[in-house]
Amino acid sequence: MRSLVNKISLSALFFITAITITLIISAGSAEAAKREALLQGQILTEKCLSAGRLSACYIEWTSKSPVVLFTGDRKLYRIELHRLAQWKLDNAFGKQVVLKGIIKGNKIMANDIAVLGGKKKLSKACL
Amino acid sequence: MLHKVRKQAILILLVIVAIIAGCVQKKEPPVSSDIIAKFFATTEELSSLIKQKDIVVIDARSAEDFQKLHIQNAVNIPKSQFREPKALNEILKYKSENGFFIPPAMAEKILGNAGIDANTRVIVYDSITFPDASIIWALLKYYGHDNVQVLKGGFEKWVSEGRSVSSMPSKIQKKSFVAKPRIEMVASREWLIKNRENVIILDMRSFDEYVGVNPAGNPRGGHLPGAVSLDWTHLAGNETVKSPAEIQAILAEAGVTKNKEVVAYCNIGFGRSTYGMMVLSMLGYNARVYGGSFEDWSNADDLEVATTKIGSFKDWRQ
Repeated sequence: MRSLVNKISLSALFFITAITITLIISAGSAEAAKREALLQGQILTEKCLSAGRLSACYIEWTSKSPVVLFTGDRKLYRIELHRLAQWKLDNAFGKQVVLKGIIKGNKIMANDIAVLGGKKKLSKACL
Repeated sequence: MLHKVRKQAILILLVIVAIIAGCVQKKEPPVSSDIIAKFFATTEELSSLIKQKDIVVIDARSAEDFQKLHIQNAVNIPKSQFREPKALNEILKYKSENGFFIPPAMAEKILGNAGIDANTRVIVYDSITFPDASIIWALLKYYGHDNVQVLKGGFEKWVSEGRSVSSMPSKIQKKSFVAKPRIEMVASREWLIKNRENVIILDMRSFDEYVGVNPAGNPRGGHLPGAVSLDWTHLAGNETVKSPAEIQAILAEAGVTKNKEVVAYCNIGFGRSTYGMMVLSMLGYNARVYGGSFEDWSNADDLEVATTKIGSFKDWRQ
């Protein structure tokens, strides 16, 4: 009987310990997910990207297609404005940038942006 | 035997609870209005105090703006005084070695000429946000004078409320100010090199300057290795300063925590960095300012400057 109680107690302890470790790890991950990251890439729309228009992306498409950051390693992040002003994002359209924000899955909650060299020109038809 | 197992189980459970309690992030307590009042004076408060003899009101805007209009009896200390071309070499040497933007003799002269001594209450303002007012705040605090506040809303709020202004020169009674430096408020280049692994380095400049696309007159663009970017305008918003809760959320996102000392820097060591230090101090963070700032670091050829590798982006069609 005592042996059975011991076994149950030990099993409960292992169970609780496992849950605790999982909680601690997930709490740490959640905290890390709230931290800002820096990403480098080009500001485009999903429509431009799917049409392969990396160097001539129509600016009016921005109102119809989500604005994205396309990084050098071919990852795509939908941009949502968090603390970043709309005009700053507009100025960076089509250009290579460093974007600062919080990554949530395939989205980045944008806080700031810096335009790098090698400006991509927008089509004249759009301006 | 059974009791022994139970005791062990309880002990382990207690340890686990302690670990969880230690790991769960503590939410920062709200900043009380009393603490905010230590840093900021309201326009109503200044209006009621303005004719008292032991009050000096400092206008930290440019000399040109001051001459047009200012709060009655205010004394002008524009930031250009801290970059006097004649004294620039002495200033640069001092701030690199000592971590503050002007030497004590210069501070004593400027503050004494403004009518400030150990018994003076000082209220300082600039236009609306307060990077320039924070310079005077930091100057007084660093040289041992605690009785200083920044006018919330600045000159713009004062004018918008229809309060009295003047274009006449103010009558100033010079006093003797004795500078007592507080070295724990600043970081010199040497201090930062020694301690940079143990502090959070906070870059208060624009993100363009941080990334390195705008070198802002420095020989090298970029930032101090390991520095976190936080453009000061994100803390100011459209008012003098955002609410403590908003600022705490922004700081948390940038990874700025209270368990480490924070060293704020900007380009020349006053303005944006002193603004950062003042806001952080108000919220209870242990903050210093790197008086030499990026100007000092960037000019030291043996020190690394971090940049984002421009051109590392690759078009997927190539």
